[in-house]
Amino acid sequence: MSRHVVIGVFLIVLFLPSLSSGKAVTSDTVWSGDVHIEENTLIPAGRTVTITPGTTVKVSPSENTKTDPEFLSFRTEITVRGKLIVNGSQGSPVRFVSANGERSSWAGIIVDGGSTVIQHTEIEDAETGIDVVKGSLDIRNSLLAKNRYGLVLTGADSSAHVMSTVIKENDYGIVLLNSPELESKNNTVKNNRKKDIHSSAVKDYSPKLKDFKSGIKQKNTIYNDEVFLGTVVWQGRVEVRGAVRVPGNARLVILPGTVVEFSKKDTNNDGIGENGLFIQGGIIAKGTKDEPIIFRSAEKQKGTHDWDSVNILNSDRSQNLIEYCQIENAYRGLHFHFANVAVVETVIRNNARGIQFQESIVEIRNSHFYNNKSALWARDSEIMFMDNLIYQNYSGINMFRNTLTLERNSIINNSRGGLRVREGIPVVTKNLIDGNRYGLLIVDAVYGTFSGNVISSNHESGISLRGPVNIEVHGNVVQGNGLNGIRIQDSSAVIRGNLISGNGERGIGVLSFSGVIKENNILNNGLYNLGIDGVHDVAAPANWWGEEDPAITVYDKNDDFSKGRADILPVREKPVILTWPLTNVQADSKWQGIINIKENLTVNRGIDLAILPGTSVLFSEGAGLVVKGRISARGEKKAPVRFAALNNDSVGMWDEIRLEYADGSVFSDCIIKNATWALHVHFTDLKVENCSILKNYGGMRFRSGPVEIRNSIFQGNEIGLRTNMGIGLLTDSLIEKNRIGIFVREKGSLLKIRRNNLVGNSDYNIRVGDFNDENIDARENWWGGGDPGETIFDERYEPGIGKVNFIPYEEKAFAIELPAQ
Amino acid sequence: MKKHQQQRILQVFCTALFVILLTVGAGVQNSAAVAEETSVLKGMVSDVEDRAVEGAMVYVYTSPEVRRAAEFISAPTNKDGVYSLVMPQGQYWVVARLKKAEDFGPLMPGDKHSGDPEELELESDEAEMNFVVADLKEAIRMKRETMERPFKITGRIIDEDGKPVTDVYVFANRSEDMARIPDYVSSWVSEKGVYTLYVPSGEYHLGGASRFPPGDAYTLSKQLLVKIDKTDVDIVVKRVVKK
Repeated sequence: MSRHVVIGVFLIVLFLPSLSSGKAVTSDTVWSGDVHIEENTLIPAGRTVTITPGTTVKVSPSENTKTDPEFLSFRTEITVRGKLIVNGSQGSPVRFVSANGERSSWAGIIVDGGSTVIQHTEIEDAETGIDVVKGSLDIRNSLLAKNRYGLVLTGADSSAHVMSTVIKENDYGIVLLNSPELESKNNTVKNNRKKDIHSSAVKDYSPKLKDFKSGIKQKNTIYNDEVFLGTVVWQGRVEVRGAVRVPGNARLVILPGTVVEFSKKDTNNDGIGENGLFIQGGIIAKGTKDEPIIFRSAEKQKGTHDWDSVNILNSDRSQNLIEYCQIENAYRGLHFHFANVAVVETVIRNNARGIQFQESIVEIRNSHFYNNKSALWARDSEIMFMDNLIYQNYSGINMFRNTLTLERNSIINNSRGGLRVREGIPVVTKNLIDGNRYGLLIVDAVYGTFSGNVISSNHESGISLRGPVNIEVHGNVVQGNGLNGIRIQDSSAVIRGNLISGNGERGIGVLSFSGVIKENNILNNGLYNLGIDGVHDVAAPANWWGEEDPAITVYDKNDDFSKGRADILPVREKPVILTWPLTNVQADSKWQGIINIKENLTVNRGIDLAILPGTSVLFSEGAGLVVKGRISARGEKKAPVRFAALNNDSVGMWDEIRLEYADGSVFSDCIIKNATWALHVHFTDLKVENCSILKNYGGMRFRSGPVEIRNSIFQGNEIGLRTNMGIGLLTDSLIEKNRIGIFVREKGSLLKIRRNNLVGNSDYNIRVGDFNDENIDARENWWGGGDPGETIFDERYEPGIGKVNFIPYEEKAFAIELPAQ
Repeated sequence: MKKHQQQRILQVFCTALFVILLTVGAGVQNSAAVAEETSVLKGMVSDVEDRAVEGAMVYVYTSPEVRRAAEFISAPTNKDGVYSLVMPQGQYWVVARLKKAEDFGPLMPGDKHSGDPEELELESDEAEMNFVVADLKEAIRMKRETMERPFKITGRIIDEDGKPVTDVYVFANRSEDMARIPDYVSSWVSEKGVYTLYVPSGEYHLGGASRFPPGDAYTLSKQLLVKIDKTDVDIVVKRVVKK
């Protein structure tokens, strides 16, 4: 017989059983004396570990860079899903320390759905002494010291009762994220290096999630351990009660509407199901929008890892398809090596890990990852990751050494990291990274571009650069993050053209940096716009630091002689123009400096956009702004907000600001010019005050309302103001030098026009439209002298179209304090 | 007792023993050596560099499912990589493994294996099967060295007016016969009608379909010989039925 090397079957070794770098406690256990923890240790639900007085628990640092799906940190951790009772005593405390004595060298105790009772205990050297992700903690008479974080509580499902405990000499003492329940009594929280208590809550945007349903009830086929030959087609309802293998020369085709359920088999009692699919040939799971395919647990009480995975191994001779599928309750929803896979329009939810792969060619589009412990983990692959939503996972995306295009994704509200990119060749652009604990972490990347992203409102740092060289960070909005906007350590990146504002502590915090920070807008950050914490100088020329003296907002050698100097000269006198990088405003945002809107931009429903004093919003030709959320453009008399064309001040150079159901919106001390319609308002409770609306085709048009316009100018427009069934009050304003001052199309009785100067509008001060058959209340205005009726087109000219009641009227102009123009 | 009677009794005994062994399952070494219609399976186990492998064992199964206890297992190969095994004639599936730890149980990292089982019709007195065993890394390296990567075809799927069509996908079939599920299919196309399809080298009939499986909701567009990556291969669909 000829020699054969038929590979494949033993690739399964890599996948069966689920090999873990950790171990689970399989029965109730007592620890005493010296306990060495050398690998991740899990106390599963239903198990209790009790630690006796005087015990020392020494935890070895992990040498592994990966995290198995059932664990949460890449450091060695003790994870509590059952119960941990630590019974130290006053004379014989329990100690948790690192085996090598190095700071932050083990993860700490992570309470993830379990409960922990601790007394007379010292916890040191951990990343987080105690991290309550979900569950309860009762700690008394204890010490949390020399950790990066002493105690972290996250979310409303976490609670802690902390009594007579000292939390000191950590970087951060107590961190409270998203309103956990903390009862605290007689504690000492002080001398923590950066902050004793950091509390942060972020907005949950509750995006609309894909959620596929199946109506199939009849169970067609049951598979145990099987090997398929040729092409096998699944449809209807299929139950897998073993390991189903599709060898190299076979193919599994799953038709639209199929439901694949996996029963739970847990032979090693670690709580993780083992049944799954092993595809070495190919898989085509091609659902449709109306008939999705569902992979899920067959158990009545479905958990997060009732079954293993759809494993695709060594399958890259064609593209495997996972389309319009919903994959849930798995240890790893999809898991592939050496495979070519497209995941499109798919829901990945409630898994320990959503997708994990390496050495593969992968395209993931328009898919939603939510409620997974970790959404996605990938290495050594070529990846296109576009238009996906990663929401409310514990950990978001972890990329290692990939050739990566990651574009137009929303990575929001994940409990820990949003996006972590380590090494590889990443291009990360036009993503929203918002409301995570950490936003974007870039580690050891030699190449890469991170441009045009919005990285906002993360609890801690927006962007962390740790060790990257030769990368570009440009055109990003880095805003409103809890601690630093950008945190830099051992990096030589180019940081250029970003808006870095409104972050809780430093706009940019530098430990060590040999790159350049130039041509950014860096302003209004909590402590400093730039803070240098290392000994080396930092090049930061040609940035705009807002209206304040930059020297005051930069912390460097001038403040502490042991620090490096910030070389900030020359200082820009005007902001850099920042093009808004996304097609929507998807998270609350505050605009400052100069913002260019290149194409039509929508402020999504539920989103607040604030435009701060002195800001210019410049529209490229034809571009506009649609507000479905709420806009608050509040300038100041000496620092108005400007809306204008980017390159040309002709009439109609840009489209309009359109408000749709944008209740609570405000424009005050604004100048709006060169638009087709400056403001176009539908069904919105709106206030316009102290605004100049100049040289547009139309100044403002509105329907419904209520709209209040006060102390504003409408000047040089074809039509100053146009109403259609508008409920409005126009008062103390100047409407002049338009062709038509006010055009009332329909239902004019809903308007009240009072105490204005209506003057010099070339056709009419008010023109009543053909569809209006109601009288209009326009008393007590000044009409420029003479007979006001001669400046009004109403039923006196065209019977039946309604009358403008202008009597009484003023004999002289009102003294209106003019807003900025 | 007549000779043929003795043979018959022996045959019945051996058959019974064989059934028992099948039932009991694993780990019976040279178990059928006394059976009448037995054969010798022999051969050599080597590694990917053609060196003899000592200590490997050959596992024989009565079905292609080999993730279970074997019906027969050889003695470990000698220093020349040679093994031999006596067993009843019949149809088998055979693999070779070199395990560092126990003879049984799943393969562990570093263990070596010959891959998918080889089918064996054991009818004559003697048969020979040679195996090459490799560990995971070796196998993958070999695979990637020997395996042809698929070629990438990209383009748009458009109607006769050149406008992008959505809610469709592209397929590539080795024949014009569309009675079955196509050999290769793309994902449902984006709004711009852009598709990507991966196929091995060969000649294909390309088309677009609006339903999966296509049934009659497809259009064959063109024939294409694929030897390299191809771009801008537009697929014109004349008749698209909504899925």
